[in-house]
Amino acid sequence: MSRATRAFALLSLLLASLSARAQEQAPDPSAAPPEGAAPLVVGLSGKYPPFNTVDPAGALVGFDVEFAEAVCAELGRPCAFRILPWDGILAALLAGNIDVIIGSMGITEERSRAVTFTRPYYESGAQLFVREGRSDPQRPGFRVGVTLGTTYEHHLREALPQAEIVTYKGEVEIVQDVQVGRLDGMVTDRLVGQWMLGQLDAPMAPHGPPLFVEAIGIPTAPGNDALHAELDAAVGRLRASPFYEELFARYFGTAGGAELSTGLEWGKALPLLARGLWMTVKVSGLGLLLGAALSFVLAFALLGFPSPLRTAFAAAVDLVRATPFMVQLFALYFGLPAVGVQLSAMNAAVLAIGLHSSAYLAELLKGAYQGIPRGQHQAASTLGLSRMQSLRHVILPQMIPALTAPVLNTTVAMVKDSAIASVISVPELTLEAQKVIGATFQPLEIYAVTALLYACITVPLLLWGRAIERRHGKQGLVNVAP
Amino acid sequence: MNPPDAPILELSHIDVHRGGQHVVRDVSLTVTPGAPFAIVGESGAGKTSLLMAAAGLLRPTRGTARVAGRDVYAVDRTERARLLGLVFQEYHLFPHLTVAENVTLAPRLQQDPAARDRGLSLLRELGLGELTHRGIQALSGGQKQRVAIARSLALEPRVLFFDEPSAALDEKTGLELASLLSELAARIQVVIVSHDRTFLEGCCPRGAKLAGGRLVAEGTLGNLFADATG
Repeated sequence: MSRATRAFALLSLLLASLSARAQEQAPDPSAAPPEGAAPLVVGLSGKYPPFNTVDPAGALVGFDVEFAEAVCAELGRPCAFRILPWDGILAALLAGNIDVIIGSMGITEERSRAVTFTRPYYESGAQLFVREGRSDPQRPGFRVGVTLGTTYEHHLREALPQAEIVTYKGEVEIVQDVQVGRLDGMVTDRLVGQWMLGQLDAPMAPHGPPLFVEAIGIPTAPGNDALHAELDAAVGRLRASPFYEELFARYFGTAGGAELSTGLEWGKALPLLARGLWMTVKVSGLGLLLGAALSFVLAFALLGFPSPLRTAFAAAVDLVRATPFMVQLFALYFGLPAVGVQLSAMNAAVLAIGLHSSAYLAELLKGAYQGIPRGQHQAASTLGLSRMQSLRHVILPQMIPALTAPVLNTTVAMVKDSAIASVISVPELTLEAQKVIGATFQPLEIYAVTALLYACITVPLLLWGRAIERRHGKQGLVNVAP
Repeated sequence: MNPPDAPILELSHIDVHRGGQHVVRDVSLTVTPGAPFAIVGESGAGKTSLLMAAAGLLRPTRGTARVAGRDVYAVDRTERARLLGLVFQEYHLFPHLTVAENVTLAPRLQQDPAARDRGLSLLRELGLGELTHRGIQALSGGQKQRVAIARSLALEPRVLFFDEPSAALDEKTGLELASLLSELAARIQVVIVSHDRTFLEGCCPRGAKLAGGRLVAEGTLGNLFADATG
């Protein structure tokens, strides 16, 4: 886990620096003063209650969200919120996928080299919380959870040099692991921790003084000077307003002021999950259709006469099959903006599933084609059938029985892999499940229902494939020699 | 059309290379219309390669093949199928189609309803009338062969090639086939590649012999087998 996430962080940094360079060369059009009602695209993780999270009805709520809406109102633009994984959010900002981050990002020297922050819109600090009965944080092997990409890890290393630091993608998962005892403690925002102790039955307490005090600002990508100036002025005006006092008091001034539900309400959770399921069907269905179309082109090329083009196609197919789906997805979503191609998360996911499945489907097509005896081609030829007629009426119909089961297996694999699209914020089943868990803190029930919903799609496909295999086994249609 | 004694099949200076081997060497052969014509020789003598080349499935490195005066390599596939047909040793029927569909596929795609009707009546003639809606898996070897014959004959080729037609048949079915071929000879030129002397004696009074890829003898069947044990 930690090695994978570190690799992920490195990739994000690399992509961020690439796209930052691209941005220097070609100034972002959004650097111009905002005109009319062009929405301000606001990135946040949606996993950081009570600052920003998704309630069971699917609405974004929290301190950051309400503050962002006030900022948008000051700018005279509507807010368009984009939920992104925290460890990729800076890369998304630098790639121009979002205009700003209003998601409780601490102002640090390191970050300030890459992006421009407004003045702080609130101040907090990192606080160590320790699970009951695990009192000595200085002992070696004390396990502390932090969110990947936050500034906490740095300070924690200095304060607790002996501790084992475990990084997570979201606060929700950390609290879950503290609850089940997998972690001895966690570092989180002082305000968040206090809020959680009030909201949840988390068996932990603050330990010692804050590790440091942190100022929270709104970053923009370099070159967005006009937007930065507007934002900075808006933050200044808002902090001096009665609205801000009321907002802060509502979340942190009085105990349990937030409106987030902690009880599981199936009536609200199920429609969210159903919406996610539909998105999963849509993304994997469209992706597989694209993959099927591409696979025919690839298979033709792979079966053609030896040529540089065939070698290139074969290498491309091998490359796709030899690399993880997640890396391909990131390359399309975070990498392509560096060369000026911006894909929406949905389009990137469909394209990634299309490319990934086409490589596998092309190999299946190639194998099935080569499994047809040469005599079938010769017989069709001596009967005067053209190549296309022979393919359409003699060869393809014989390939189908051998293809059906493996194609269904590939389909099932891609439906499951589409869950990975959640990391680029495609609102498919897995992401919707995580959002619901973020609001309810009931991972067991929600993940169980989610698994069941996936099975509703995949099990019928698997049963179908097995029935076809059984039927052809009986008829001897597969690999039959006429 | 052709004068009655003009050659029906003319192969001239055919050379075939397969997998780096020179398998047919400068073979020239002329067949005039008449009784079934045999091409005999040991295994590996180049018989099947010569047949494939004559049927247009294999492009010879040199030489020409003409059927009824027309260049086999200069016409398109549909036209070639009307010049010559080929019944493969393993028949190569289409396993996903019924008996009738095997015979009517090409006529249907080539929009030739006459060929379609001919194919279906050939099936009845060959004793397969009851089996037209069966899949081909259920057929015996001899039945499959007759489906393959009907499939080729439906297109009315001028020459019908057979590759080792008796190889997979028992003696009785082999005799039936020999008499069927003699009957067919009345309406079409039959050319048979085989090394089965007993079978050939039942159908083919004349032929040519290949050895080492070369044509080594031509004449009556007796002559072809006279100088060797073959």
